[in-house]
Amino acid sequence: MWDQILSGIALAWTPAAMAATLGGLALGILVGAIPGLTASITVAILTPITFFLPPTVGIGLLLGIYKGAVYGGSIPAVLINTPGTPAAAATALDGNMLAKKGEARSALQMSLYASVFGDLFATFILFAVAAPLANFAVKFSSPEYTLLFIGSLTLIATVSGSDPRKGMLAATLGALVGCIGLDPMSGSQRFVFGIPDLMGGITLVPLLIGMFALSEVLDQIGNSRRKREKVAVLQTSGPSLTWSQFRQSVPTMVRSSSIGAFIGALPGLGAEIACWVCYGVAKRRSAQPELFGKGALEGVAAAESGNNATVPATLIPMLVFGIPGDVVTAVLLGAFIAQGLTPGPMLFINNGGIIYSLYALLVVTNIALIFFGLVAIRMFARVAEIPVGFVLSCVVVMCFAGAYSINSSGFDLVVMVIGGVVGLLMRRTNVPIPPFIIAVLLAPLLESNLRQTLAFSEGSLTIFATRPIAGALLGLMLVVVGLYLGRLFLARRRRAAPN
Amino acid sequence: MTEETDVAGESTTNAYDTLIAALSAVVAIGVVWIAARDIAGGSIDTWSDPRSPAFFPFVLGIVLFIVAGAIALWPRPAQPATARKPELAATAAIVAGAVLLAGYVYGFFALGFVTASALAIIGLALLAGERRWPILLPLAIVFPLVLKIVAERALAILLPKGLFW
Repeated sequence: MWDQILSGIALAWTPAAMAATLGGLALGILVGAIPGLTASITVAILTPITFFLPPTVGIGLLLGIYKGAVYGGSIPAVLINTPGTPAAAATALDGNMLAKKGEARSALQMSLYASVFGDLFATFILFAVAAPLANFAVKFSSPEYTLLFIGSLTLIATVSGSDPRKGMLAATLGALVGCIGLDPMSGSQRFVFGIPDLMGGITLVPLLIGMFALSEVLDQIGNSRRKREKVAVLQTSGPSLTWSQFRQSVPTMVRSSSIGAFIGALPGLGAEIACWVCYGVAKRRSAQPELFGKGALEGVAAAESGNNATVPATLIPMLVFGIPGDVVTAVLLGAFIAQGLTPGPMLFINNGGIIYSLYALLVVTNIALIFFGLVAIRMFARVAEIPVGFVLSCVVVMCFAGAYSINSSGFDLVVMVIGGVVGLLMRRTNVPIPPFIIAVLLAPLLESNLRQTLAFSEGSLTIFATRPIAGALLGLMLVVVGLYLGRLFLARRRRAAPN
Repeated sequence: MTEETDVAGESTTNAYDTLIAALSAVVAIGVVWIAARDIAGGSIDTWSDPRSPAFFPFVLGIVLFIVAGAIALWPRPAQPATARKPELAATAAIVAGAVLLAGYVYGFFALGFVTASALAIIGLALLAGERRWPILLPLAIVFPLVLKIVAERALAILLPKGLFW
């Protein structure tokens, strides 16, 4: 193990890997600070470029963007009361109130230090948990993976968006799209309709770029026709954060980082949910809950440490089981596969050096985030003035260049544009996009494991209950589903009650 | 968008949801039909056999039909509607944007990356409400050109050639 750690540090400590990761971090902060651009969009657009780079350079770039964007969203949340990314929504509550009271500097500094704290905390959890979990996961076989994929997809579908049924709809449609092409076991054509380009299936990255980036562009083009209020950018002024203010928030940050890391490790949840859960828990546990929503530094600390802690934690299910927890990790999974690295327990045995190099890069970006963040806070007034119309049109050009570069295929561009229109329709009808994308990615794995299991058991489903680990997973899934249905039943009864 | 409310104050159906459920049910029936007829060759034994290529799509078709039924029949939990009322100008701009993207796909090969991208940047920026020509024109020329040079020289990614470049 120590050999792998040392070789990982050596791989990370190269000028190219460092430059790509730190460049990604700076770019991530910039796009996170521009409302409308998110980590998912940026990572999706730049992923094709990473296919042409060494693994530590390409994946380091994407990790830097991911981490930078989650932090960057907090700056406009504080200064213009508009979260740059959905993960910074809870930060706006107290951060903007503090800015209105003339304490923007301390709010932004608390947001930055809490982000670094949460991120570092979860990086160590990733380091401590992933490898032992991978050792355990080596014992998994087809039945266990089948249950794991079904459980993860169900969880992602039910927690994404406001209506679990629409999440299930998105996941099922995504799995069907994942079936397009040649059957991996028999080579038969499925849903090809005589189109030769469909024989190899739908390429994930163009579809993903279309559904996230192009749909966002079309959405914003529609929004540009509505009257918008001019946004006032508050000044980065007021007193700096004191050591005693920071120290008072440390227990909140430890608690929120733990919750954020736990939520991040569960597929489908992620930073958007973590920020609200951590904010709610911090308010309940606070000695002065009445200050929350009126300008509590503790509120900023809770939301930011919680949402940033999810970033390293989402890598746990992705690296150990090959299950992406959110859209960004789905893209990262695609980048890993394109680099010839198949996430799963064997990755830790065969390519441990690369895994530890990514851990090292995560730690480096944490430290660098302090300096980059302080610069970004000073520069935000200029970032807020970047005309969104120009940014969007350049984003479209990058989308086309990125999607084309994967296979030099015009069909990929068609898939991307269709994905953009479908993504817009899904946004407008509240059908969540993440379960769709993750299902496209997981469907072939789920199918091959399910069919192998049933072929082995001659069609008997009892195999899922008779194997010890599979039985335990099935039991856990049944308990979770039972609790969920029980909660739904109680909620309906409460609503139906006269008072 | 119409949303009805029953006597208990709970949101029930919604025109979009009904449409989504109906479309999903049609897709589900189509998937089951294709799985049974085209992939499995019409043999029931084949598509119910886990080794058959029709097995997984058939299962997904059934799941999709059940989900469509759940959306159509079960009352939706009370929630704020986030879907916006369509506005004519906004819808027209979105449709124009989608048409422009389709045209960009064609122009990407017919005109080449740089020229098609320059036209796309101008078109999209105009659709997004930008009218600052002194910024827009240089941006439309310089950005695709720089991107093409970086892609070809630094990353060895070849983008289509056409008019001018």
